[in-house]
Amino acid sequence: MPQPDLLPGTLDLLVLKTISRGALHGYGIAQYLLQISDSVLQVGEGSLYPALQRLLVNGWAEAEWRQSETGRRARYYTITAAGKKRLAAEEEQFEKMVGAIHMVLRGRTV
Amino acid sequence: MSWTSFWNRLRGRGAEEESLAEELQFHRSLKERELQDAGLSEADARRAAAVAIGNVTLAREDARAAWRFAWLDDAVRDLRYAVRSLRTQPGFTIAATLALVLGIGLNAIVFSVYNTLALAPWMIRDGDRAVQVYVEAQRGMWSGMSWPQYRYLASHTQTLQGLAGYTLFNAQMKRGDGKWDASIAAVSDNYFELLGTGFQIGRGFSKSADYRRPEPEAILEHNTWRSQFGGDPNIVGTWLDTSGGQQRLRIVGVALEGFDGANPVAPQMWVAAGWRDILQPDGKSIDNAGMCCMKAVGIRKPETSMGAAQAELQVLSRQFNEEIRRDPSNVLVTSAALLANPSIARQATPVFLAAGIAALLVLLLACANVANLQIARALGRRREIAVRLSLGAGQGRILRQLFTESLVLTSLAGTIGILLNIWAPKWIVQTMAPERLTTALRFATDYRVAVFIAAVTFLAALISGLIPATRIVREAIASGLQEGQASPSGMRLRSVLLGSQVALCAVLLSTAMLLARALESAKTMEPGFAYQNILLFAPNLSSSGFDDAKAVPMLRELTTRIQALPGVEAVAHASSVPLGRRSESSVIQDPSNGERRSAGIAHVSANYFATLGIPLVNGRGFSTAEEALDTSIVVNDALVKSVRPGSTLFDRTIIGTAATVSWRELGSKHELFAYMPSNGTAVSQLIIRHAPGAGDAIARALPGIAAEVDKRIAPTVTPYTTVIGDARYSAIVAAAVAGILSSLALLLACVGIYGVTAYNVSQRTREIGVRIALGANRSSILALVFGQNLRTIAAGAVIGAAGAYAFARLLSSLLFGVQPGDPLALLSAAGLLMAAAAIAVFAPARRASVLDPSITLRQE
Repeated sequence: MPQPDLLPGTLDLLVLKTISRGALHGYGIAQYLLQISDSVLQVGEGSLYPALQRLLVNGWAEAEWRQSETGRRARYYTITAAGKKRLAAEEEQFEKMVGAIHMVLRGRTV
Repeated sequence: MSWTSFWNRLRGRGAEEESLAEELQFHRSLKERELQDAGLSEADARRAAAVAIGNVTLAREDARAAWRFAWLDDAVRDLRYAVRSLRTQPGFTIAATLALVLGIGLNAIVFSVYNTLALAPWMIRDGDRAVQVYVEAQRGMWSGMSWPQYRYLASHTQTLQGLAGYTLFNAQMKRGDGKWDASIAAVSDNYFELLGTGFQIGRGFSKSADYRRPEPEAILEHNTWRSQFGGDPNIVGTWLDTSGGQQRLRIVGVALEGFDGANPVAPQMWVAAGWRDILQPDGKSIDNAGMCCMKAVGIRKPETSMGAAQAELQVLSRQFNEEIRRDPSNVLVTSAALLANPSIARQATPVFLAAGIAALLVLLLACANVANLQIARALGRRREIAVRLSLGAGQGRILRQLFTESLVLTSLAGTIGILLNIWAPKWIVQTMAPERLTTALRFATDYRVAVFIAAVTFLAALISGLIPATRIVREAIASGLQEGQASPSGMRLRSVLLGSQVALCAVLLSTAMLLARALESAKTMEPGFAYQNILLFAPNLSSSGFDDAKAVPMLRELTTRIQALPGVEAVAHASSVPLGRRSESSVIQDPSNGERRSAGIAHVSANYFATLGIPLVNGRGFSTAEEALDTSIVVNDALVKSVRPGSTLFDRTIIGTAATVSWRELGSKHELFAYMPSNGTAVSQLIIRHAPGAGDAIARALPGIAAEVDKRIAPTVTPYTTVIGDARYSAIVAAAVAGILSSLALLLACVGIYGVTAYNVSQRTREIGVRIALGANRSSILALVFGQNLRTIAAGAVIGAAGAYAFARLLSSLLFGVQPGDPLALLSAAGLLMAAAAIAVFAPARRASVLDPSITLRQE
């Protein structure tokens, strides 16, 4: 199910980061995000696939049909050069944003 | 947006859709495995996976939305879907397209004719600022003006850039060995400077010092140059002779293609104004201040309004009339279109209004039919639509898809309509209008026509598509996935559709019946004299260059020789004949109320009345001795009511009253007419009464006789029956067109009624099955279906008959004396419609009555 709490735009960043480590199919991406976040990030298909489509449309990811580990055809997503550039920019942006949010939150607790 | 993403979007659309479906399938299977591994049974796992994944359709619609051209995507898909679904049902597609072509095409044609006559500016320089100037000859009759008045206005006007004058006439010209009856415009010498678009070859007129002695110059019209002179590039400088050989004109130029001058129909040749009196010496000099008709056309200065021009010319005209001591007459400045003349507009507007309403009715009828068919067709798709709606497709999406289909249908019809429009109006005018109008009338399919057709097409799509689509979607939502229950509101809508359709049809059909009755009456309508066994012999002396003085002895000589032919009973002459081409009129003042009215005039020989068999109801006719004198006059029945008994008219003593005959319009009984005695004029024709059966031999002998008298005579011979036939022709064609139109309307109505009834029956299949299962017999089912539909149809027919009565009043001029409320026409229309409706209802009703209840009930 979609995560209403996720900051807008963050899902694209997370997906981009995930596939930057190697080609993965949609289910794999969802599983990875679930595991690595200690089951906090339950990404629903309703938001995952639209996100993947957005990456394709903008040329940040490429998709390719391959044989999956189960033997069935699956669609694997890989990051493109443009995607890497974008990822770096987004990560930096995100760090800045998180830092800013932190500062605000700490300021309030003091 | 970057170019890569743009390109990706364009490229990826089609393939993405299928990939996504497979991907989601794959995702689901892995999810199921995961859940099974966690210990769920296979069935539970499947259910849980489905729940976890959620609404796949929604996910797909959302994913698709990532391609931000979704709307374009949807439009293309809708288009493809529409074309596919129309192709799989060719019967529906053809029927619907035909109906729409009929509706759209008819509207386009009516508009196109109207556009040409009323809206499209002339193909002259600065045509958008062109104005026509008319003078009120008598109350409500706007005509041209005399040459002196034109000259006065042209030389004094400040609001117009210039004012040109022209008058049209015919003259016999020599061309090679043959003769050529040329239509000529005699124009003021600023005509081409002011209005001309340039010359194909050559130049314009040189200025004449005295307009009465014009330079012998002629300018050819482009099409005439091509058809009559083979497009000879060396034509300039060659000479044209009149058929009599008395005059020569040098061709100095050929106008550019498309230049018609200030006329909807181009003349074949232009000459300077003074040539009018030289080439046609009929005594009607343009120089006579009391004479009309130089037509005046001007170009408004860009900064002045129509109102300013009107005010100025009104003042100038008053000054002119004061100078020559004539009663002042009003001036009217209008835009440059044929229908801008109020006298013409008065006659033509009701006809256009009637044609427009009829065309609109046909369009509405066609749309209602297509809407009905769409609703009936949607029955099979209701389940599909309900499924899509419940799975999250937006109502707007579905509406758009259904509407796209209608748009495809109407666009197809609109395209055919445009194609039809390129040739149909020309054909119609050529068939219906008098010959002289048709030769060069251009029907440009210009932007106005294109915009009009597009608008009509869109309107048709709205009516025939959006209304049923809204209905279908709303019904699908209301009934959800329930099957087979007709909603009561849907039934009501269809009843209203059915009723209004029948009403519209009743209007068209009743009108057609009225016109058919009019046709009947036009066929048998008599002009009021015995026209059988009469030949009209027109020596065309005036257009061959003879004046009245030369004409008199020639006519006498011709008469003597013709009388000697076997079978000839009597020969009379007249300057114009009833229902003939030429007419002459003057204004008289009614002594009782002072009203000025137009009266026809003819100069006739003493034996005219006897030869044509026109009875004298009072007094006496002319004696032969009186022919040379201008002391006596004979008036007709209609005119005698407007003069004092025993009084004079035009300074002549009224010596007798003749029966009224149709003069300009067949069947008319009210035309005022006066006859003056004459021993012949240059425009006189000979009226030859002959023994039955002798006509052909005499007609063959006539050209020889003409040549014996003078080789320069170029005669035309017409049996009077042909003249009368022509007069009836327009009524016959109008009635025939109305007949075709109404047969189509009837056909449309039948298709529509059948569609609605068939749909109603199919909606009630289960109910009828239950009734039959419960013991209802066939005839009671038949009565049920019949009764319900026929009530609606009868109500529609009654409303329609009332509409038809109102509509027919517009057409009264075409009805030849048949009353708009003619009971025979209205009743027969209603009867025909009811009979057709009964047949259309019968087939579905019968089908309902033979339903097998065991099958219908199991179907659900």
